[in-house]
Amino acid sequence: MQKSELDNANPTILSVSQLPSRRATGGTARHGPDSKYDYAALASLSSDTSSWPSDDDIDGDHGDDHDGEMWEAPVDEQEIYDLISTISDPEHPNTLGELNVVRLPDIRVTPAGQRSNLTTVLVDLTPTVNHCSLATVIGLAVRWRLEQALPPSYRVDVRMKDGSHAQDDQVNKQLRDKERVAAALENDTLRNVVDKMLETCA
Amino acid sequence: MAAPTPPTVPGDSLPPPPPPPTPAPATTTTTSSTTATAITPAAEAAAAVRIDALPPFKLDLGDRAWTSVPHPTLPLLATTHDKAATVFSLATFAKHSALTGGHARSVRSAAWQPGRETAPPRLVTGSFDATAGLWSWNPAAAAVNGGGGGGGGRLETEVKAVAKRSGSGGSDEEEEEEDEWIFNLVLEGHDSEVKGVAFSPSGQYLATCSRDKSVWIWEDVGAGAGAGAGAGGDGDDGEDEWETVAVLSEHDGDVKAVAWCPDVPGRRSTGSGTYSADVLASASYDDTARIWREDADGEWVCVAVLEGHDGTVWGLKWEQKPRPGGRFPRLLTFSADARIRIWTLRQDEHEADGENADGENGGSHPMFQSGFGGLPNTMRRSLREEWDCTAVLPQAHTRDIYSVTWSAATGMVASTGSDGVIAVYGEDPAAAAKQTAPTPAPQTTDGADATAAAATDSANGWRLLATVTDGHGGYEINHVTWCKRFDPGTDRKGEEEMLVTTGDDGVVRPWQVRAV
Repeated sequence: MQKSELDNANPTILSVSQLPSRRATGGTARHGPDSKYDYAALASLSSDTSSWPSDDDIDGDHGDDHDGEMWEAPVDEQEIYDLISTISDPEHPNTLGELNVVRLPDIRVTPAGQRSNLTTVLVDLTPTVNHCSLATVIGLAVRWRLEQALPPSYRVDVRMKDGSHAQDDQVNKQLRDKERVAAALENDTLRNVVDKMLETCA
Repeated sequence: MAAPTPPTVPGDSLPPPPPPPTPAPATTTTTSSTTATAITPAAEAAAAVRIDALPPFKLDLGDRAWTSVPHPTLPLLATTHDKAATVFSLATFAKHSALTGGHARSVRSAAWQPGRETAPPRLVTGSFDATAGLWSWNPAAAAVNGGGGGGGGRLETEVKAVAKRSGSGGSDEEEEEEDEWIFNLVLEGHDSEVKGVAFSPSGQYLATCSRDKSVWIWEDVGAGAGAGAGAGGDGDDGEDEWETVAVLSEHDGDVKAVAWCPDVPGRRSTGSGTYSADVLASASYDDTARIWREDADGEWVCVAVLEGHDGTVWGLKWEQKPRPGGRFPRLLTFSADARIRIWTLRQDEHEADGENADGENGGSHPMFQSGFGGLPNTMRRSLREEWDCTAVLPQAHTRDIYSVTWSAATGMVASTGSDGVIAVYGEDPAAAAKQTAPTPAPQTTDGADATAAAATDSANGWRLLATVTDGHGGYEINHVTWCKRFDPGTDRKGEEEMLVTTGDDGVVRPWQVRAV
């Protein structure tokens, strides 16, 4: 990124070993946290499904298809985390997981109620600084990533964590608005930014 | 509040309204089934209905479809999706034709221009590319397919002919179909995505609304407009010309939808001297709805702001079915707060105000003379209308309500939204007849469960009659509309109504709604 003035020039960056994972802590980190290729390591970590205890058919790599049959087992918070923590930050060479923008405890998966078959995924984001102008873009990327990856009966709600952002309400309302999200993703400039952020998720 | 005035106003607007001698609206809340009349005498409650899936329209659009709009008279349904609109035949549920190539971004909304019974159908599309497009059916292209001229009756034949042909479709079919719709005109002016489009009942005005927070009103001043509109194909060959007559910029957020009050007798029951007949309503991201009318100086003014929703107002619908006593149509709004509200014009007071204005009574009240900068109070009052929330429908949704439809034939309401639920509501006839008072406490329905809905006061006579969960297999449903049936499955073609839903799965689904 060539952006001359960063919203947060010195974000706190977590090392791989500090990121939540099903693996034993620090298991396979091969690169130090200072490496700008960190995300590559993380990407391979999250897409390495062979060691996942449960099953078989849960794999973020299949994010581009809408095939509900793929998802027989319910998706849990860790899996949601794995899908979105590898998204790149729009202005830092780090992932949202490393920057602690995405945090496992701030992800909530609520299964279907009695009168519907919907599963709600609630993600509270913590922007690196509370006036981050890119909060909306980050939220958009997270929502887009999850909508692409999850089955159609999942509803994704992305919000700014209470008090973490100066214009919470405005950003939250925008991210909730399907029509605005759809229109934003048809905006070439915005779409390019989002696509670039998602490159590290593959 | 105006003092009681001598009852010189028209009888049907006297306070309080006399109860109708017979429960005439009883048939309204029964379903559209043929047994409707039998229920009339004792109907205290809205009759229960069941919703059954009919075979879906025979074309999977593949990706999100936004809205499906039935033609006012012909058996055609226009569905917007991607950068195009696809027209379906309601007789065969198959693709009839497509409108492609006019927009650079998604087509969000569409509306058929009314009042063109003898002219070729005309559709307007609203797009995220910040424009609205005006399209006309091309009778010449249709003639190739065995149809006739532009006459409405003959188009029905064309519908069948074309539908058959598309069944055997090949790739060259696409090109022919493009010719069937002519992209006449692009309406430019909005700064960002056009979200909604709507024609006034006569077809004279078109309203468009946008994320740029404005509503634009355009007037058809082309050669085929006005008195000459009946000239058929010739009229349509004249130049299309639309003029901007108003830009309404009072909303504080995206304007999501616009809707014109239908031309029912009640529409003329108020404001006759103050405003012209057309009434426009708009719904917004700013959580409000607004009502607009054209005053005596030709200015479009906001006469009411409807506040009550706790979230984006996704849209609004006017009551299409004439009300008992010729009262002004009610307005229904639906929102991201998962609620549906019904609003009623406080007519008696308004009429009283009108009386004052006409009778020059303002001068007899000294206090009115001083406080308003020399303007007679009555003049200021006349610019506003009082709208009360008179019902909050029983809650059937857990997430954003994206679409609601209000039947002109039965008075039944259907809603759908993000939760994939399709719900049908009916109003108890007695409540419908006397509903004038504001809802006591519209905010108190929190936690009200659908099953207990009948008991909540704020529902004010409205009941949840039936629901379908997961109407589109887990996907969000973006639109629902009542739609006349023309398929072989009904024995009352052109009369029986079904529901049509449009979803993120790109599928358009018809639903039969009949009395249990």
